[in-house]
Amino acid sequence: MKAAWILAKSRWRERPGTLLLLSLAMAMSAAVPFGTDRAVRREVVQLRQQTQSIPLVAGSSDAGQTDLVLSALDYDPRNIPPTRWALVEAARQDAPEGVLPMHLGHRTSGLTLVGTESEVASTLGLTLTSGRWCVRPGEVVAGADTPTDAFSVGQVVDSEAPKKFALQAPPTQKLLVVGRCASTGSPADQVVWTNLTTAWVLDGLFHAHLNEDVKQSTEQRQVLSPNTPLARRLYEQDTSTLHAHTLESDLPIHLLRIVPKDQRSLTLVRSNLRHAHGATTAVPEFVADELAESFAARAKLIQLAVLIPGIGVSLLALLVIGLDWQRRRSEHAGLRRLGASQSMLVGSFALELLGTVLVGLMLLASMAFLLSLFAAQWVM
Amino acid sequence: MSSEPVILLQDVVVHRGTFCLKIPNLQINSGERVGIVAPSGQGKSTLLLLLAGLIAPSQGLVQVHGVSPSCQPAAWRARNIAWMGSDLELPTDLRVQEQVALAAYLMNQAAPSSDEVESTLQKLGIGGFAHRTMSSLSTGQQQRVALARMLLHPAPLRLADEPTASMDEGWASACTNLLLSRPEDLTVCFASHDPTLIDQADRVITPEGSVR
Repeated sequence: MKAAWILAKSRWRERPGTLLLLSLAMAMSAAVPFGTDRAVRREVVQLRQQTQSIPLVAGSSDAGQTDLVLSALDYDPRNIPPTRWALVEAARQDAPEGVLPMHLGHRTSGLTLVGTESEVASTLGLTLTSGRWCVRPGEVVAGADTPTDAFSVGQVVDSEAPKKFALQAPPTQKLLVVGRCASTGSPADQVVWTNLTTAWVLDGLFHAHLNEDVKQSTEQRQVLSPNTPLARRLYEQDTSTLHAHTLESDLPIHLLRIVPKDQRSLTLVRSNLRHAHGATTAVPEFVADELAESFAARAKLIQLAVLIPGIGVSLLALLVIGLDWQRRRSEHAGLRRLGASQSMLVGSFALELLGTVLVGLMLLASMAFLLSLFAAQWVM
Repeated sequence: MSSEPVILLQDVVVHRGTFCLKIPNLQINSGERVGIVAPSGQGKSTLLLLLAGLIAPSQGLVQVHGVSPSCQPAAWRARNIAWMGSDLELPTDLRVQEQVALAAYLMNQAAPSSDEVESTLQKLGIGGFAHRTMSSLSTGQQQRVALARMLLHPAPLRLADEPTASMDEGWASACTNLLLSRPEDLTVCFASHDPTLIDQADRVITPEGSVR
């Protein structure tokens, strides 16, 4: 046994490359399917849980159903063109329990800034741990997972325009943190909420001028009084000319999260938005099923893409072992002449393989763990 | 010397391919140092393989320590015969220390101590090489490692096939002394072309067993 052990040990010690190559091939072949399957299962479960809280979403006629649903889930606008305020009013005509407009085009300190209304609290079940909800333009409420050093109540943060360096981009705006939310365990914890009218400001439609050339309010135009404490705080240099240039109906909205009263209400709202307003609507629960299938298909592709190199590496490792076989045979013949039994030689080979399997298992465990972390990104 | 011969061969015929070796009678007693001398291809290695039980005779009687060696299990060979082949055939991944202790491991005995190993290696001019792998040594050095392994093997019969073939004259002489050194009950049988080694044998025979 001891002879078998020192022989096996000498192989691992002197030929770690072969050992590692074999182990890696083994681990890859096993860990990738395992890791991706695990990640897909986890993502699908999470997706279904999240979609249960969103009965219906609606958006521009040019938006895809999947993009609408995923944008509603993770607050990333993806490929959905903005729609108009009229769609919100149309949805509210059928009197559902809640219609939550969302503008998703801006960021602040690297976080998504979601422009919406105070109805967000009841529709998404958000509660405050400190401060209050934003009620005026320029105010924001931070999600539970946002950094407290940058988003504590009373701090002023800068908005980041979507096209920061474009010549016609709106200027950076100051935003005042007025509250922080309690944790919900959803992506809502990682965003910053603001009053929808601020999205208007951020798009440069409602902003301050540095001169006295102030236009008056008209029926189609709102003007925010420059003498409010908020305006003075945000725009210390010149607070005299804060005014609007656009209609409320032009407020940019990316999507609507709608909570109908019942199934009949859902059908009614959906039908109205689709036929009367040409909007795209989607029931996230159904889309989640389609996405689950799509994730599984992508996972299969990834598995195939990794398995082929995995098999290649395995063949390479086998070739290395095959080329080594002649030397091994000669050594075994020498050992038999010294008195080594066949069982001892088989034992040393088995121990060598056992070591490879053990290293492979360790690699497999760590790779499966890492893959389950990253595979979700690949399959989404 | 004991009266019972360590090696006894009678009317032995060995076929290896087209080669045929006939040994009418050969007897080697305990404590004898016997050299086997012949031109290449005349059966020196075949005779040693036969004595080690690594090949079986086609006919005739072969006895080593009173038994037929080719019918014995590997463990018997490990206990009774210290073998050094002409092809070293050593596992190249083993370190020198592991290599010389291998025989003890195969016999399920305690390995020689580091001091014993180092002392033997010193005598063979490879002191300080204990932790080097075989593949890092020259052929001559590898042969001395194989000799060290044989010297540390406590078996009562040493069989060596051209043990000094790759050594220079100085080391061949030193290794000869170590290989043939007493204790009295140790029997050594070697095949060689090296006159230094052959000169120190008690008896020199041909592969057929006749005295030269």
